[in-house]
Amino acid sequence: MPSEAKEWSWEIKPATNIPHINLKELWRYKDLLVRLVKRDHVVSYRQTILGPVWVFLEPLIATYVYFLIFTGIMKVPTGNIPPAIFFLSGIVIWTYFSDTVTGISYTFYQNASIFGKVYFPRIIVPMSIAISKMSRLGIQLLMLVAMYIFFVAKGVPLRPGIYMLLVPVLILFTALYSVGVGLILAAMAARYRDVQNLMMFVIRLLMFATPVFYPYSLVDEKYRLLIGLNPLTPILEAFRIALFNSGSVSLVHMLYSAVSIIITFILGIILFGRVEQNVVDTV
Amino acid sequence: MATGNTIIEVHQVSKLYRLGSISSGTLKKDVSRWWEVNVLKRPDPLQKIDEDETGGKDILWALKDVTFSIKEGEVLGIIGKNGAGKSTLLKILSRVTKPTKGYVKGKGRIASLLEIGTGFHEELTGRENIYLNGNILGLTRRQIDAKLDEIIDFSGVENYIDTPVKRYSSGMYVRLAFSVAAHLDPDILIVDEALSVGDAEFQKKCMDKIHDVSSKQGKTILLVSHSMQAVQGFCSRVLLLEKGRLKYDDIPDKVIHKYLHGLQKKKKPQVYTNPDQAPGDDNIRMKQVYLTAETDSTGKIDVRTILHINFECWSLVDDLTLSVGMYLFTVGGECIFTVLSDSVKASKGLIEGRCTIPGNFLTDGSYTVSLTFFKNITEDIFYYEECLYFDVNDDPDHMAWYGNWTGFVRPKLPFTLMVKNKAFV
Repeated sequence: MPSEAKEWSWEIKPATNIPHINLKELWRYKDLLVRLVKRDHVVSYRQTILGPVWVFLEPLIATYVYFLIFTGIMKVPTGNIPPAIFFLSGIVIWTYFSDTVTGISYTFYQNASIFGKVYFPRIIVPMSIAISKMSRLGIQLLMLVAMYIFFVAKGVPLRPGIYMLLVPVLILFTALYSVGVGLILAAMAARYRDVQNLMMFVIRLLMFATPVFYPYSLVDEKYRLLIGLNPLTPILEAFRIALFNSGSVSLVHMLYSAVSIIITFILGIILFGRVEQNVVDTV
Repeated sequence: MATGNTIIEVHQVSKLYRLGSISSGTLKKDVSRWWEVNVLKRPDPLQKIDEDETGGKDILWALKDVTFSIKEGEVLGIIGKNGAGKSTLLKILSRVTKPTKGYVKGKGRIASLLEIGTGFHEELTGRENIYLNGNILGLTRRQIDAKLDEIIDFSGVENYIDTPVKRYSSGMYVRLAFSVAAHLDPDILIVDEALSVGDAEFQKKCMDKIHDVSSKQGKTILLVSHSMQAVQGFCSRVLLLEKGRLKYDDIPDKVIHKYLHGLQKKKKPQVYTNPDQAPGDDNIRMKQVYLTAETDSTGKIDVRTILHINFECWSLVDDLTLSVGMYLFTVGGECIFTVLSDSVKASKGLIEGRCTIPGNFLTDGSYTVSLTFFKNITEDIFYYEECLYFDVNDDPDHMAWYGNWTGFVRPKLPFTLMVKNKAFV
């Protein structure tokens, strides 16, 4: 069938500035996505005694440490919400963000040898990281619920707010933001190794510029704008309104957060797509 | 065999590498470049390279205007020396990197056997790695399910299939990896000759598998090699790459003939009479490089012949501490050995050098010689590439007897067999 000779199933062209996203092809690699998520879980806990229990232990230990520091030593007020659950609610969201960003930023660096040999849509790797961390977040949210029930049973007057319905959206936006920031960093780290060194430091600093351990309402007027610029701020605030019916966030602030997150995400996809095309030559 | 339908079309593909890399690699240097260009208004050092794409020192066209097409069922060999652009072409065909110019169009799935073991994770078991590796190579879970038994069977590690691969010996690891790659069932298979893994038995298994894929299943194969002989028996067509360009595209015999013919010209040693026109640098100039052989009456060089590689060069300066390195390459570009001369204190005038290769040392084949000249032992001043070419024939008395010799050299070492007339107890 000579006519068929003209129907090509793929084409390799020089790199483009705006990456082309082939959803059909992405779908064909869905099994790889699932496999990478599984690998992440298996590898994390093989040869550990406690295994998946670490998913619970990590945030609990963190919560306890922060409880000691912020409540015990610094006496940060958390209103009528028990500090432990206040911190935990912040920590689970923050951990998702920082783990995902860190994981994704190493995409090119850690997979250089695979990327140098086999083609598959590179975006699968960051996607698998985001999903794998998301499943941990899911488990940790269950733990949060358990703690919530524990406090309610003890007679602490905790009452969820109407924002509860927004929680899936909040988590979605957290994920989009984490992936966006991670992709931007991955693209930069492919070119500048410096980014990796700087990143850990910046993420740690950023944690203090996010209302993880304190309510936004407590922030001094001088720094409100600065802290408010962080798109995670209204998300955490809304998350706490959903859980405890306490906190304050304006609609404008929410919209600002949503728009900047979407811009970050799109920017991340574009930068990542641009870098992935020839990254093998430079990494 | 070839049905006539074009399955891959490579059109004017070029790939440019900037040896200094696009960005300087660190933020600091890029920032300082930005500062110099935009604030201090100095010319951009990298910009200059962009303008002068052909002659720049820091840029390299790893591939330049390569055009060819592959038909369905064809077994295409790609040969060339190291650095000829073979691996760059493979990287582009396997979509790992993009061409700078040109395009490739194709049909069906490409898989390459150079990616064996890619993505294997130490902590995962053999079975888990089969799935991971298969997925990375583009198979779905269901496709792997269907082939799992066959893969495990072929690999011969069934007893350890649920053990993490970090406990595997390197041989087991490679066998498992190859097994996955070999069962990919691609439409186009890329085989790198560097596939010299595992023991002899396993290698044979691999070659049989590749033969099987090409002859029985009629798949298209790209065999990449730097050995002419390797492709001769296997391929229906051969491409020869030289310095990034497609030099020849023809049936194997013709390509090899043309290639060898090109080298043949180097056989006639060129003698320079005037140092000003001779190759060299500020310190030395080459007069000539030639071969003398202690041949028997037939005058033919065979594996037993003692060979002398001679050269003469002029020293243009006084007080030159000169030493010379000699490289012997196969015609495919593999370096067989390097010899370093003693150093000599030279003044202006002629210097003569000679290196002797003993008889019963080289195996039959074609060889090229390159020379490197060193000043003060360490400073390399001149590389005279492929300045001599010669053939070594097989030993006529033993040709029919021994068949093929494996290995780069064929030294005649003391090797005796003794018959002890003792009956078994």
